[in-house]
Amino acid sequence: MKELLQIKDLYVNFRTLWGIAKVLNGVNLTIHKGEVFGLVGETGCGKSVTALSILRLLPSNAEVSGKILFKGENLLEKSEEEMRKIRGKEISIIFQDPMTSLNPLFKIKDQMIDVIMLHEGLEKERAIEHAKKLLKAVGLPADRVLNSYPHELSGGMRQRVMIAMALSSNPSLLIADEPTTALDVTIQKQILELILDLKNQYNFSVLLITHDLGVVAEVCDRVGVMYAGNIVEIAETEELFENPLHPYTRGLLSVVPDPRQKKPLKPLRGSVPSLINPPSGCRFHPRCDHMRDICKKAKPELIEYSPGHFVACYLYGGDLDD
Amino acid sequence: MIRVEHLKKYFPVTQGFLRKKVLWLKAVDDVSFEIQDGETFGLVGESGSGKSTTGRTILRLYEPTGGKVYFNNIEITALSKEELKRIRPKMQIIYQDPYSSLNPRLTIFDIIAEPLREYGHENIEDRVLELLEAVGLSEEHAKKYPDELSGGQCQRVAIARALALDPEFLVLDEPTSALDVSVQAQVLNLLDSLQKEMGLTYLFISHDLGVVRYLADKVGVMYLGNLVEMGTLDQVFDNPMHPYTRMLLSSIPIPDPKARSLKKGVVIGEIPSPLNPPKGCKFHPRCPFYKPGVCDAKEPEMIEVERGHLVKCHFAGEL
Repeated sequence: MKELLQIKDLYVNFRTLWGIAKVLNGVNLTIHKGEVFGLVGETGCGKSVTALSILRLLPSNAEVSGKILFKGENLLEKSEEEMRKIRGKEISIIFQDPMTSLNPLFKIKDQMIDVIMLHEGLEKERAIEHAKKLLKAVGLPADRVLNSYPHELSGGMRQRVMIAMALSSNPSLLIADEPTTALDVTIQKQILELILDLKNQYNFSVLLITHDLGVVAEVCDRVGVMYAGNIVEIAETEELFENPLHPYTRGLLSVVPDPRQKKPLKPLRGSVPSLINPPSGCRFHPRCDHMRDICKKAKPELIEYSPGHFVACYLYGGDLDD
Repeated sequence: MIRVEHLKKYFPVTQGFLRKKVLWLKAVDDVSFEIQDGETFGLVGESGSGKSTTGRTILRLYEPTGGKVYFNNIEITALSKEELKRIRPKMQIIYQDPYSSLNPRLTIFDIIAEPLREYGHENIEDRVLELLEAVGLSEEHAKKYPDELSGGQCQRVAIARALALDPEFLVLDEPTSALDVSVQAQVLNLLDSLQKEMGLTYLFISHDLGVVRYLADKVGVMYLGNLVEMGTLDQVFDNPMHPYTRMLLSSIPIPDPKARSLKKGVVIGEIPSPLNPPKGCKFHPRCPFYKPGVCDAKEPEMIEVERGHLVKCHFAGEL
C-alpha cells in the first residue's frame, strides 16, 4: 500500500502560564491510501493535537517541529494560502460535537453551498444539486434537511451533515476526531457504518481518533496507541488486540469492559502525568511494572519488533546497555 | 429493599409568556421493579429514555406524578418533608460529573464533613479520614480543593461524601461516564468492593452496557419512559427478547476485532421525540418485527416469559 500521510518526529510544545507543555514528544506514524487508521488513547495523550497539527489548526501559542508529509509534500512548510486550499479539499475533519461545528443561525443549505461554491467553484444552482447528492449519500432526506436549522436536527443527523460537508470536495483524507463520542450507541453504529461505506465508495483514507477500543476493534485496519504525547505502539488491529506488546497497551486492554462477559478489570496504577513536567525517559515509566534504570534515562525509540508491529519499549530491544 | 410500583414522572411543557401548559413530557411512564438487599440493579437506555429521571424520582429529588416507591417497606412517596429528611441519609446519589457536583469553594475535608455536620455527628475529623481511606485517598487530599484533583479522585470524593452517613442504598447515575477507561476501572472496582464490605444496594444507571455487565446483578432496559425488558444479567445479555434490547446489544462495539459484527443495518431510525411518542408500542416504528394493526394499536403488557425475565412486547418469546 502507498503512503498518503507520514508524520515524522513531530514535536508540539504549548507556551502556557504555568510553563511549557510538551504535548507531542516525537510522534511518528504513517497512514496508507484507503485505510482506516485508528489513533487511540486517553484524555490529554495528544491524539487531537496530532490531528490539528496535520491541518495546521493549532493555536498561536504552539511551537511545532518535525515533518508532516502529505502526498510527499511537507505541510509544515506550506504557506497559509496553500494550506487553505488543502483544508476541506484534500483533508477534511469532523469533530465530536456537530452542534458546535455548525452555525446555529444559518440553514444547512446556506452553510453547505458556501463550502461547495468555495472549494468547487460551482454556481449556486449546481452547488445546491451537489449538496442534495451528498445528503442523499449520507442517508438524509435532502430537501427537508437543506431547509432546516441545525437545532431542528438530531445529533446523529447533524453528524451526517458534517460528513456530507467534509466529503463535498472528495478529499483523500478524512480526519474523524471522536465522531461518535457524543452520540448514543445505536446512532454510533449507524455513523461508523456510514463512514466505512463512504470510504469504500469514494476511496479516501480515514484517521479515526477515539478513546474507545471497542470502536477501534470494529472499524480500524491499523491502530496507533498514544500515551502522554508519544506513540507507544502501532500494529494491525487484530495483531494489536491479540498480541499487545507495550505495557500501557496491555493495561488499556485489560480495563475495557466487555459486554459479552463479566471479567475482572485490572486497572493501571496511578494516572496520566502532567505534560508541563513529564517523567524523564519513557513517559510511562512511573506506572510500569517492568521499569528498569534505562527507562528513566532515555526515551525508547519506536522499533519494528515484528513485520508491521512497532513498539517503543526497552523490553523489546533498543537498550544499548544490555 | 427497594420496590417501585407504577412510577410516573411527567414534566409540564410550557409555552409563551404566560407559561401555559401545552403538553406533558412523560419522562417515566409506569415503571415497576424491585431491588433486593445487597444487589445491583442496572438501568440501561439511551439519552432521553428516562433512566436518570427514574433514579431521581425514586429518591424524591423529583416529586413523582404517580406510583409508589418503597424503601425497606416504608412508602417514601407518602412521607412528609420532615420524615423524608430523617430517612435521606440511608439513600444517596452519585452523579456523572464529579466537578460540578462538588462545591469548588470547599476543601475536600469540608465537602465530606458537610453531611456529617448537617446530621449532627461527632468525631467528624476521624470519620472524614476513615472515609477518605475507604475510597483510596489519603489525609493529604483533605486540604485540597476539587480543582486540584483529577476526575477520578473527585469521583472518589463524591463517593466518600455519599458514604458519610452510612447509607444502605445508592443511586449511581453514570458514575464513570466522564472518566477515562483506566480510571473508570479503578472507580468500578472501588464501587464493587465497597458494596461487598458495606452490604450496599445499588441502582446503577448507565448507557454503557459493558460497564453494566461488569457490575450489575439484574438489568432493566428503558426506552422512551418505559421498561421494555428486565431480568438477570445473563437473561438480558445472553437471551435478549425485546427487539430494542437486541438492537442495543448489537450496536455496542466489542473490544475484539475477531468479533467484528458483519451484520449491517441492524439499527433502524432514531429515537423519536419523547414529547410525541408513537402510539401503541413506542418502539414499533423502528422494530424489524412490526405487525400493523397490533403493535401500533395497543401498548403491550409486561409479560414474564421465563422466571424473572419480563418483556414488554406483543410477541415476547415468539421472536
